[in-house]
Amino acid sequence: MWNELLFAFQSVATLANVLAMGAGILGGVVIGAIPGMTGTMAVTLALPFTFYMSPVTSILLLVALYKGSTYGGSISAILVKTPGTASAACTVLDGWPLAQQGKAGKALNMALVSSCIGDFLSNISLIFLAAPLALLALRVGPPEYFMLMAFALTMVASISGGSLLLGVVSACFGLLLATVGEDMYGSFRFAMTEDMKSGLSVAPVLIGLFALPELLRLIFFRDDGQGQAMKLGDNRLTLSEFRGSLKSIIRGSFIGVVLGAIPGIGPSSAAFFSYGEARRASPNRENFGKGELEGIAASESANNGCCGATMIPLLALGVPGDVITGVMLGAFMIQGLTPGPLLFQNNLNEVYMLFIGMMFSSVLLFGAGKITVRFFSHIARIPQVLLAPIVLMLCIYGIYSISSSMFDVTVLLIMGAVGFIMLLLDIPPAPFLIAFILGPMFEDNLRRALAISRGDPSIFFHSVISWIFAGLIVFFVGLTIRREWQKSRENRAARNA
Amino acid sequence: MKPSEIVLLAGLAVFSGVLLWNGLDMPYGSAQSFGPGYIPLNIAVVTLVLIALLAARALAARRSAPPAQAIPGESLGAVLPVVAVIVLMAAAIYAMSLGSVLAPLGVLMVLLSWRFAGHPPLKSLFVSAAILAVIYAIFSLWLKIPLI
Repeated sequence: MWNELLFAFQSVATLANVLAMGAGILGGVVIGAIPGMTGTMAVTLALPFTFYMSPVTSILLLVALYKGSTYGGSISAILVKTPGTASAACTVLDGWPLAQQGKAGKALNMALVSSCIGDFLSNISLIFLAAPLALLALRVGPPEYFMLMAFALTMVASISGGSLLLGVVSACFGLLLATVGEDMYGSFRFAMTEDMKSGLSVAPVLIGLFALPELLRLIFFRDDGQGQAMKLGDNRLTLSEFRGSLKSIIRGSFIGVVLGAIPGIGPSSAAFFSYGEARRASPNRENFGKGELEGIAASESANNGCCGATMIPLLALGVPGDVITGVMLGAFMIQGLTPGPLLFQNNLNEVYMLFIGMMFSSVLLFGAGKITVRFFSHIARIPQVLLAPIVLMLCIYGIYSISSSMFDVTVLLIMGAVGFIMLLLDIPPAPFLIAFILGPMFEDNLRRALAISRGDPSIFFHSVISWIFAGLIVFFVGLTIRREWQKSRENRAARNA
Repeated sequence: MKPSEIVLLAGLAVFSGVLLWNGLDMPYGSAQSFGPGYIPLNIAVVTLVLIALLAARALAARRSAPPAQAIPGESLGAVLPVVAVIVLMAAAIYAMSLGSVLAPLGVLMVLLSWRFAGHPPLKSLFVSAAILAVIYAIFSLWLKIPLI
């Protein structure tokens, strides 16, 4: 194992990989810091460029963008009271009051340190948990795999915002689109043109659904009232301040790892949960919301703590935990790598390289954050509307450059229009994406399992693992229905009052 | 129900209906397992049932709720610019298939920047030209993808 790790270290330490990680971290920090530009958009826009890179370089670039943007979201949260990404919403609570007190630099430094520690611990958990989980997954068959896919789809549909019904409609739409093209036994379905025979490509669907709607939002719902960025002021984070927040950082990282590893939950919930726990346990709880460094430490360690953890189900089981890892699953597939237990069997070197690269990118994140801190107030002031034409060009050229296919560009436009309507209506796109990507595997395992049992559906309940997943599905669906019922009862009561 | 919701759900219902109709021609299954029609047919049926449920729920909510206020962003005046941008993008993509890739997208970018993002014409031209130059350098010169 040590030889493999040494070989992986040598392979990662190439100029191309270091440049890709550095560019990813810097790009991610800048994009994350601009309100309205999300980490998902950063990763999605970079997808076409990865076609021309080696598999490991391309994944490292995307991972670095993810980490950079998750941290970058805290910059505008602290300096202009507008979180750059949803996961930094919690950082506003204490970051903005600190900036008003002239301690923006201190807040940014605390956000950076906690993000890096959370990220680092998350990477370690990935390294220790992904391989054993993958080994376990190697022993399960198509019925268990089908139940796992069903569980992942249920989780994502029920937790990713909006109503359960809309989440399921979104997932069904994704599953339906995934059936276009050739199926596992060579039958063509809904292939009305030659281009459709190979199915819809992942890249135009992803970029259309996530980047184009954001572009239209930037044009039509632009936030001209973006506040003036605060000056950095008091910049130093003292050792005693760091020590005072260390418990919250460790707790937050742990919460991020646990919640990040569960498909569908994501960094925003982890940040708020960690913040709540830190406030409950802190002796300075009265100061939370008025400019408490511990509050920033709790939320930032948790949201960055999710970065590595969301890769656990992706790498070990082939199940993306959120939208960004869904995009990364697409990138893996584009590179000819299939995440899941077989990745650890067939591409162990690449897996080790990825692990080492991820650890290295945590260090890069710290370095990049320290060096660029003085430019942060300028980044947070970049007008959103200036970015719209750039995003549009990157979307269209990026897709066209992959295979010079006008069909893909058309798919991009159609998915962009659909995605924009979904955005307007608050219909979560995550279930669609996960269903679209997992659809072929979902169908493959369903049909294989039924072929083994000669059509007997009881095969899905023959093993303990299947029962566990079935129980989890019932539990989460029940929980969501209960939540919806409570919500509608509250709405009714409010109307009657 | 908002007009945009009706448009999306109606579109999705038509899409599911078409897939359901086409799925009827595919083998549903054999004695051993299910065929290529199994998933599309069942998912299309589930989707249609869910859309019907959503529509029924919206109708019930409308009956019990007081008359709704006009929703901002849902008037024809607010929807038109979005439709115009999508039509413009479609036209540019169609024009790309006629020969030049760069020219139609350049025109689209200037129009978007000028008419929709509110930049002055000269600034729009300058920003668009600069972005096109960067993209040409990245894709055509560095990545060697021919873009005219």
